Amino acid sequence: MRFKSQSNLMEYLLLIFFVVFIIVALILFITWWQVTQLGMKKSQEIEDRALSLTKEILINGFFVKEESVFDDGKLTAANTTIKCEELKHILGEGWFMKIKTLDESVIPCNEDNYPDCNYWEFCVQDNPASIYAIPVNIYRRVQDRYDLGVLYVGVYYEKT
Amino acid sequence: MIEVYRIFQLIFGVIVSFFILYFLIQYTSNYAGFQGNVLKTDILKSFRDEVSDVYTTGVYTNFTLFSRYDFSSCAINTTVHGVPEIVCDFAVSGIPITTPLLLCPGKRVFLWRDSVDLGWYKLFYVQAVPDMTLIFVPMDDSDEVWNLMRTLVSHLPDTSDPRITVNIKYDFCDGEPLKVCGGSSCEKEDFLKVIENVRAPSLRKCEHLPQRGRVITFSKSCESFEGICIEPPLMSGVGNAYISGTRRVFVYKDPIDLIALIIGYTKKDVFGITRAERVFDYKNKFFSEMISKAARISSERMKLIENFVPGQDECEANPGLKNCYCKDVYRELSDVLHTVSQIADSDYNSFQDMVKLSETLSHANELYQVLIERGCEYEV
Amino acid sequence: MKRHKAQTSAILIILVIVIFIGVAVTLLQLAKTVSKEEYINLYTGNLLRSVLKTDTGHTQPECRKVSDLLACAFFTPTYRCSPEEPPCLELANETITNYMSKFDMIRKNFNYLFKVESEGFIAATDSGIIDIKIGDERLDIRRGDSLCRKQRCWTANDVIQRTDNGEQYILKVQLIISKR
Repeated sequence: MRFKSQSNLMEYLLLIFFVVFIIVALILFITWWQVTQLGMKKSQEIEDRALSLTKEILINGFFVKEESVFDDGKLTAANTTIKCEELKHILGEGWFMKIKTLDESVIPCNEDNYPDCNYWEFCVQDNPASIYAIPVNIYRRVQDRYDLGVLYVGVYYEKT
Repeated sequence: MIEVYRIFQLIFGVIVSFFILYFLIQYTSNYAGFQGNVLKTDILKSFRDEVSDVYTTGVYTNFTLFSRYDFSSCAINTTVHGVPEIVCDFAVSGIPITTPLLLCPGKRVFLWRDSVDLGWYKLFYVQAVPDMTLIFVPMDDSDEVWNLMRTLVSHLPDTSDPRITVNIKYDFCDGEPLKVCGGSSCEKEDFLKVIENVRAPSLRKCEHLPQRGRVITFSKSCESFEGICIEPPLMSGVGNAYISGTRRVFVYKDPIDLIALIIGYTKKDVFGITRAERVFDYKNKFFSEMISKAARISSERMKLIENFVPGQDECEANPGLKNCYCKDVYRELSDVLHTVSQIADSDYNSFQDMVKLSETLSHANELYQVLIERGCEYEV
Repeated sequence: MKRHKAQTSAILIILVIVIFIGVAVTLLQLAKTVSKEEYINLYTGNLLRSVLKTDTGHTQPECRKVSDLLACAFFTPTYRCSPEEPPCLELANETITNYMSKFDMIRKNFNYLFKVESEGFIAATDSGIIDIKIGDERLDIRRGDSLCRKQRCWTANDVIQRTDNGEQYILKVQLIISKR
């Protein structure tokens, strides 16, 4: 009888141990889930911000003639007169933008080689980012011509 | 007689239950409070995304999630080093917002896009407005007042679409709201028709306001009034406006300054500052910064293009040439826009500075229209 | 008997833990981003509009922009924009194929189909209804064996207006893209 009681007790204790183990596992699981969710949420927020920024840049009067049609004169002028720090006041931090025609060559624009150039960039840094590429037109004011190009907008994962 | 083993089971069960309950209660109570703020922040972020969609697409919409909690303390503040933020009493830090927005929170708000057209640049912005009835009290019937009313209403929302759940109505008042549209206040387009066809000043102050009524008085002298009082423009479209409950004089130079006051209106925050002041200050700081940068870019662009358009002599020698007779205009416009970029963010409370800005912007617009007429530039 | 019952309970508990882990892994895999859908819609719409608006380099009004070239290919397929160039239909095919292959380097692994049809009037020859298709015709939604019935496709639409002898004609242009 004594041995039977001890055996029952041990089994009961073992059962309780497993129950407590499950509760602790549950707590750890929920905590880990929350942490993973936060990480995924942050990543998702960066992607959402990049897309939102892309849509805003497509209609921003600083750069465009009309929606999704960039003015090469405005792009060149913005490149030469507005610093990245100043654009951050309007569009926020930790982003960049590149715009290029579909030609294979890359000729960055400035006031000396305008309009014989095809590439503009703003706030570019050497950091990993979430990037969206969108087809756009670039209106060549001097030649009165619409070229096909690509807009790249990205948000950096780490704030710099 | 109860077994010892049974007693052990009971005691152990109680201890384990206590442990589980203790943890659950503590976690739930912390989480509930925390979750409330997390949900409010999520709603604000959702609002910001909705505003961004309206800004990029131009398609108006309703936003009703504000009804879940109290967002009446929320406003937009400009920051020194970054973008403006939506700040509320319950949140420790603000939510950054890059979209130009004039905000008045309510249980449900109507979001729509309006624009400031300067000729050479069009600045889009979003209005977020709750249910309201705008009561106009024109104490004189001069052309300036009537033109100003017409311009203001054209920049305010139209909620006649049956899909819109927010109601923004318009009415005149002369002692009592006149209900000029078939016995009730008007939708925007109907009110604009009334303004076109009727011209009669109000003789008495407005009383018995409708629920959510906002009074806008137009008078040469704003001595005793309720709500907002606007003096007709004195010079170059610049004038003074006042809000009841504050002695501050608001200098307006474009209709959006007045729209900012109307949207903000008289409600005060815990510091005694009216919402109208906060919206007005945000509008002037943020919008001015955008206009200043846009002017700098456009000025430089005009200089670049000037090098590639034919001069007077060439045009006279070859009459069929494109972009003719524009070189001098480009040069002058570049200089004027350079001036705009320098004075756009000057003191917006100074009447003289705003007169200068208004005249310079007018001049820039005129020059740009000349370029459009001569086929050298496009309409923005 | 009690020992067996305890052992059963222990096994059940371990089973519950295993199920928990399985659910967690499944949920994580399901939590994919939804904003990709919005991006591809934006991409498709912009691709169509931008290509149509692009200047081809020709000065004649019939061939000035890609949209003009497509209208030329639809109404006057044998017209030549310049003597050295192929007829409109072939030139439209070449131009669009060229642009799309450049975009393929930017956004890889996408098939496309450009489709031009009449809107509001019927264009027909003896051989049947006229329409222009440039790209992978298996993406045509009207086909019974369309790839779009089996996989996700994104569509953008636009119109081209053309006036001929005082009459206005509208052409509907559709771009369908799908992952390869």
